Amino acid sequence: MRGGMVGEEESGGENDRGTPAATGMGGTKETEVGEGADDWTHRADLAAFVGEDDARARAAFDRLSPTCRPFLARYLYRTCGVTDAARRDDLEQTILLRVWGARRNFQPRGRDAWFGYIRQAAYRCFLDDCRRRHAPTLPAAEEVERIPDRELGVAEVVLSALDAGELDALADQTLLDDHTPLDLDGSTRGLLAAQLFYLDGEGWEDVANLLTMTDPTRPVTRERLDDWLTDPRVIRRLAFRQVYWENRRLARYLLDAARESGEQDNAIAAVIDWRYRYGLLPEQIRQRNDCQLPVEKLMATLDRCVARLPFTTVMEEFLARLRRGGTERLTKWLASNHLWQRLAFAYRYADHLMHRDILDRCQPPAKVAGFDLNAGHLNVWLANARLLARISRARDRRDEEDEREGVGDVGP
Amino acid sequence: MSAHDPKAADVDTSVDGGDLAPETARFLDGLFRAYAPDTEDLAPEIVTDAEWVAYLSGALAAEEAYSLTRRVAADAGLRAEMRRVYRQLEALRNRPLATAESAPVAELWRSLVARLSGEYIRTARERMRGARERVWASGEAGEAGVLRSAFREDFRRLRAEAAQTARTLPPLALARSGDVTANVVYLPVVNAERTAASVRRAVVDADGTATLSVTWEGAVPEGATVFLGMRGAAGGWLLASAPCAGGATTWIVGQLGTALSLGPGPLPTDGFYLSVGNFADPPGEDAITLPATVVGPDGAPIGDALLERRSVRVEEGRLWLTLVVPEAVRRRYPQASVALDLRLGHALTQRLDSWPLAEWEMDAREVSLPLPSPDAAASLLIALLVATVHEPPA
Repeated sequence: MRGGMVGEEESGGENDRGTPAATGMGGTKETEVGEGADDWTHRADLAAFVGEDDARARAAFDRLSPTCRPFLARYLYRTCGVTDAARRDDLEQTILLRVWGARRNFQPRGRDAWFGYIRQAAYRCFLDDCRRRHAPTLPAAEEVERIPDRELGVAEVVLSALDAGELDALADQTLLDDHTPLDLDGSTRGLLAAQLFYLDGEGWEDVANLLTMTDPTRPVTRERLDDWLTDPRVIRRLAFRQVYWENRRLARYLLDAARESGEQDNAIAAVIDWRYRYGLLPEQIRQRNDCQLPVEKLMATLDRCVARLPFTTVMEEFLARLRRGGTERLTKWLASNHLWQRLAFAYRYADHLMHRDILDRCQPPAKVAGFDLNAGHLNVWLANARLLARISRARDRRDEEDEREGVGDVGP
Repeated sequence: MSAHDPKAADVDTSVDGGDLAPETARFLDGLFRAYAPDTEDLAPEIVTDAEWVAYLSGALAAEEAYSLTRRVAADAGLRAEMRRVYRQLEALRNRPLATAESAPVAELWRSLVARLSGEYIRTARERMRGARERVWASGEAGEAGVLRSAFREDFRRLRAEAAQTARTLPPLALARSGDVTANVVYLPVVNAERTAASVRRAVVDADGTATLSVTWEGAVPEGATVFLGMRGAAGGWLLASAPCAGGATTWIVGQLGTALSLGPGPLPTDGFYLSVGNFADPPGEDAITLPATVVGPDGAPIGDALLERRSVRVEEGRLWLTLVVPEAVRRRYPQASVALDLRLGHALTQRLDSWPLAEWEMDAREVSLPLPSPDAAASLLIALLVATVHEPPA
C-alpha cells in the first residue's frame, strides 16, 4: 500500500489543488513530479508534519516521504546529473533526514510549498555532497536560503554542470550555436578535424583517415568532413579555443616575452604573475607591501604587458589559416556576438576577470574579426549574471525537449 | 564588415536570460570559485604511445575514445603527439620491416607487444576455464580424454579468436628477443610425438607458479633450444623457448597458473607440444589456405586469389614458410608481385616483404620474413599474415 493512500484516509481525503509553482528561471516544475496536482491529498499531513506532536509528525512524514521519492530520484538524476545509483540512494536518504530535521522551518502552505521545500533541501544536500567530494570551498548550504525561489533553478544548473565538468560544453552550446546545438560527434571529432585541417595544415585525406582510424565504426567521409569544416558552430569552437587563453597560460607567455626583452628582474616577474595569473588589478598590486617596483615602473611594466598581449596576432593568424583553405566566408561567423559572448563568459567565470581586463583580452581580436566590442557589450552581457541565466534557461529548454521526446529516460 | 554597436538594431545584445538577484549572482560566483582549477602549474597530460596506437587503431572503447578526442581537441601538445604517432603508423604501413627500425618506431612497437600478449593470455585463460569446467563435469575418469579434446577444440578457437582480437588491437610489436617478460608465458611441455622425453615434474604451486622438469634421455643435444607450442587447428602457437642442459631442463614459470586459471595441483600437459632446434607447426600439419586480394595499380581490389602456406618454422630469428602461388594465378598476373603484410588494427597493415611473380618458377617457394622476437610474436605474426597480389602500374 502506498503511503499516499494512508495519508488520504487520515487526512480525510482533502485534496490540495494548489496553483502550480512558478517555475521562474530554470525552475523545476512541480507538476512534473511523481504525483499530479489533482490527486495530491496530503494537506492535513503537512499540518501534522510541522505540529508539536512528534508521533503524529512522524506518521505524517512516513506518509509524505513516498510522495517525495519519485521527485527526488528524478531531481537528482535529471537536474543534478547524479547518474550513480548508489550515490543517488545515499543522497535521497540524507535529504529526507534533512527534511525531517528541519521540519519546524517549513510553512505548510500546500503542495507547491512542500515540493519547494523538498527541492531546496535536495539542493542543499547536493551542495554538501559536492563539497565533500570535489569542492571543499563551496558556499555553505545555508546560503541557498538567500537565493530567490525563482532563481534556484539557475543555481541547480550551474552546480550540476560544474560538478559534472560539463559547463564548458553547455556554454559552447548556448553561446556558440545559434538554435540547433552541435551534436556530440561534431563537438569532438568535428572540432578535432577542423584543428587538424585549418591549424595543422593536414590534407583532408589524412584528416578523414585519422579520424576513421579512431573509430572505424563511424568512418569520416569527404562529405562529413566538409560539413564539419564549414559549420559555423565548429568554426566558432575552433576560434574560441585559439583566442581564449586562461590566466596561467597568458602569464607564462608574458613572462617569457619579458625575459626575451631582457627584463630578467624578479620584481617584474612577480608583477606579471599577480596581474595575469592571479588577476589582481594594478591598484591592488600597488598596495602590496611586497611589490618592489616603484609606481612609475610598475605602470610602465603593465603597459608593456598590455602591448604584448598576443590576441591580435593570434586572431590574425587564425583568420589567415581559415582563408588559406579558400574559405573566406568562414571568417564572417566570427563577426557576430557568439564568439565574444563565449569569451566574455569564460574570462568572467573561469578566470574571474573584471570587465576591463576582459576587454583588454577580447577587444583587439574582436576588431580583427570585424566585431566592434566595447564595454557596453560586456555590461549588457555580464551584469546580473545574465549569461548564466541564459545558459540555465537553454538547458531547461533542452531538458524539456528531451523529456517530450523521451530522451534520457534511463534513470530512476 | 561594419562595426557593431550595442545599440544598433542589427546586433543582438540581449542575452535572453533576464537578470539574477545580487544574492544569486554572489552565490554563483562562490560556486565558480570553488571549482576553479588550482593556479599552480598542472602536470602536462601524458598519453603513452601504446594508448595512442590503441586510439588510432580503433581499439579503445567508445567512451575512452571520446574522452581522448576531447582531451586532444583541448590540448595542442597532445594533438602534436597524436600526429607524430599517426605519421609513424603511416610510415609502417608500406615500409619493409627491416628498414622500419628507427628508434621511435622500435619504441612504438615494443610498447605494443605487451598489450597484445596480455590480450592473448586473457583469451587463453577464458578457454582454459571452459575446459576445466568440462573436466569437472565429466569426473576424473574421463579427465584425460576431455582435456585432450577440450584443449584441441579450445585452442582451435583460441587461435582464431586471438587473431580476430589482434585485429582490433594496436599493431603487433616485434620486440627484441628478451625484452618482453611481463606477459610472456614460458611453458615447456613434453609431447612424445616429437621428442623422446619424459616429464619428471609438472605442477602448479599455490601462488600460480608452474614448475616443470623434463629429462631428455639423450634425445636432445646439449644447449639445443626447445620450442614450446600450443596445438591448434591452423598450426602451432609458439609460447616460449628454453635450452637443454645436463640432459634435462627445469623451468619455474611464475604466474603461469594465474594466467591460465589453473589452481594448485598437476599441470595438464595435453594440448601442447615441443619442437627442437626451431619452432615449427605441429606434426601432421597440412597446408593452410591463404586468401589473397588482387589489387590494381591504384590499390583498388580487382580480384581474389587463393594461395597456401606450409611448413612454418622459426630459425635464426626469422620466420620461414613455404608460400604456394598456383600456376593459374601466376599466369593470370605475370607482372604482379605477391606481398605478405602484417595486419595491424582495423585499418593498417605493415609490409613484411614482397616478391615478383615473374621470379616464381614453381608453385611452392620457401620465403623468410624478419622476426626480431620469435619468443613473443611468431605465432601472432603467423596468425596475422595477409597476402596480396599487386598489379604493377601500367
